[in-house]
Amino acid sequence: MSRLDEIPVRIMPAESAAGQGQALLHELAHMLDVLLREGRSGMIDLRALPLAAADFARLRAVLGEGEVHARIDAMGEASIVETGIPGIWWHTYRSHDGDIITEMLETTWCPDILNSQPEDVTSGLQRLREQLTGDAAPSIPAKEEQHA
Amino acid sequence: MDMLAFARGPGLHWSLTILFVGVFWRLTGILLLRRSPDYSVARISGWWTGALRLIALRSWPRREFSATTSFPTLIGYLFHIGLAVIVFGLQQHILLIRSLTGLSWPNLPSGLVNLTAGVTAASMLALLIRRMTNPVLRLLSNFDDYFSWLVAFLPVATGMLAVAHLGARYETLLALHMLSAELLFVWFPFGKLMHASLIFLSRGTSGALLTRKGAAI
Amino acid sequence: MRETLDQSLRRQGVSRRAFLKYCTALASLMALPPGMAPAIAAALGKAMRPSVIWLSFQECTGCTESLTRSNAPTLEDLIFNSISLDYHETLQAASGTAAEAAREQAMKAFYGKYLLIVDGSVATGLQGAYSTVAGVTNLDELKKVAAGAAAVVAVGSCSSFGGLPMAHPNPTGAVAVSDIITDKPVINVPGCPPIPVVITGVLAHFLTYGTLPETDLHRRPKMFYGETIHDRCYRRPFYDQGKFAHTFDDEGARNGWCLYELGCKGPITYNSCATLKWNEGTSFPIESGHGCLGCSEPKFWDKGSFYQPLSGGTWTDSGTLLAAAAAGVAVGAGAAVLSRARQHHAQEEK
Repeated sequence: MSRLDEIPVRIMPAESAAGQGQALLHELAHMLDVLLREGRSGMIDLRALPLAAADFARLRAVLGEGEVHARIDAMGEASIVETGIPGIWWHTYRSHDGDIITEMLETTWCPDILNSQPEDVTSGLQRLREQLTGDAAPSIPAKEEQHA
Repeated sequence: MDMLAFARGPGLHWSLTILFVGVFWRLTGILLLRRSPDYSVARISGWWTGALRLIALRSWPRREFSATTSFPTLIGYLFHIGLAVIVFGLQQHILLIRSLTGLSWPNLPSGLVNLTAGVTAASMLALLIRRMTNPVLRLLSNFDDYFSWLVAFLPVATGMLAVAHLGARYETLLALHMLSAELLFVWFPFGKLMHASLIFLSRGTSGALLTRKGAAI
Repeated sequence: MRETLDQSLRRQGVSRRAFLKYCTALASLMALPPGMAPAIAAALGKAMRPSVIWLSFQECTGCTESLTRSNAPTLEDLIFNSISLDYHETLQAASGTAAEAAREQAMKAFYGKYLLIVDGSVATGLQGAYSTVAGVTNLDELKKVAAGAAAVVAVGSCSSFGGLPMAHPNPTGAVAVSDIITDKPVINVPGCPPIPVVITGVLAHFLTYGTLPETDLHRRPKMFYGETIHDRCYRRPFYDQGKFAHTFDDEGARNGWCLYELGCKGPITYNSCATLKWNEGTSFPIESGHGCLGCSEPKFWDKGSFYQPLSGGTWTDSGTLLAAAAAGVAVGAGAAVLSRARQHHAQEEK
């Protein structure tokens, strides 16, 4: 053997799937049911489970991709994708280097992290006002407030 | 030193030492006993066929008693074969034997061994219940019978718990399992468990003597 | 006046959404349900940056390496941004008396409130003279600094359990931190080294809740040391089926079968390697084809060969058995001689 890639090592054969993927799918079906009947959302932390590559592949194959693809740029990228089964969202959070730091499945109408956060809206509004007072029309914010 | 380190180290070391000293002590002691010279002429020659015949015959229920002894004999076989399958079939046990002797062989699938352990434990319990409920057997039984049963049953029970991770942390279960086997090693030469080394010797001796005297066996 | 983490993050231009994302990762790290993230964000946001003093004793700096060798900026960085590391011999810029003075100052300013982190075991032989810093023995320094600490975190197997310095015959009389400090909460974060996110996970818990997490019988945080490597191992199905690699390069090894036979200590080792993994979540030893050494367990260094299967003996070999058998034959022969003499005597009496 002269090269590393000539050594026939199969680290994780497909047959090692411990059936975790199947169990997770059942769990998700139950969670969707709860969302429909009681309106409660739920989350599964995929990184906390000992999933084999085959389990992941099975999850991806069954859930597929749906209509919504969201990307968040906040201390590294985060992708939030509605799967082919509406109501199941696949969250993948990455660090600045692109390493996955969290991977979750959420059952909800719309993931909360996509909503604008009140704290950010407050500081955004503040910035906007500073912008407007800095510009030539200092009276506009005051007027807006009167309308409100 | 924690319990598991003790069980794997000094516990195993000294229990096996006692087992080997004890078994060879008793075997040598018995084999070297003085036998009275037999001046009579042998009625039938070929004593060793008699020895083998008795070993074979006594391993099976006699026809006259088959109605009452067939079931316990069957259960007895079941748990003895079960024990052999567990001891020599499970990879963990083969690895222990390899660490002691350097010998090893292919293992059986763990699922099969686990199933066997269940059948073995159930058979042993059935035989204990029979011993405790059958009036004749109860009269015949002494402390040695019950203690030897317990000492043989504990490794099966703790082994099953360890495999299933039931009741305690795994290292505790594994340590208890090893310690229970070590208790068996220590008790083996001095109680009725010694039948494992003496059974064919004693049956063979009886067979040979009876044949020499011309008795029907 | 120290600012809260919220203030600090806002000043750095970190959005709430980014903080929520980070707290979700933190919840996952602390093995909390992901839905806990908003609650963590609320608690963590209000936390004051605590003062941390880090002491290094008989150690190899591997624990510090583990913590700092992750690519920036990561969870670990963020958590480090949320504490004020006032003394760390390897990481601080100051040296000599200036460094010692900084520590004295932090101790005085935050007496009873600072967090003490220790890596390395404590030498007790020759009154601690085997290991000294600036002329002060580790033993004395630990006692002095721990006196004013809110809690002590022992990072690595050396400070948690004694580690390699304690290995037989333990020439320096090395002991664990918890052997010396008995009047303060001490938490052990063992491993050689510990997983970086486990170290930060404990700090994150302290930051979020102001207390140390719940621990097991070896004072290890249950959230990271609650389950064995074996229970979380992706090769576990092979163990259950009885499929084992017999050597490191046989068919079984190539198929990724269980490494029990090659001495894997996964079944008795409590740690998160199988789920959190190493090197930015790349893999862990078993995934790389080598059994677990059990480095987060007490005395792993003195428990026999790393390559001896768990069910094998550590003391006994075939020589012992042969010697025992020979001794048995000798005793048996002796006993037989005695009985023969008695038999002879009995016959003569007849």
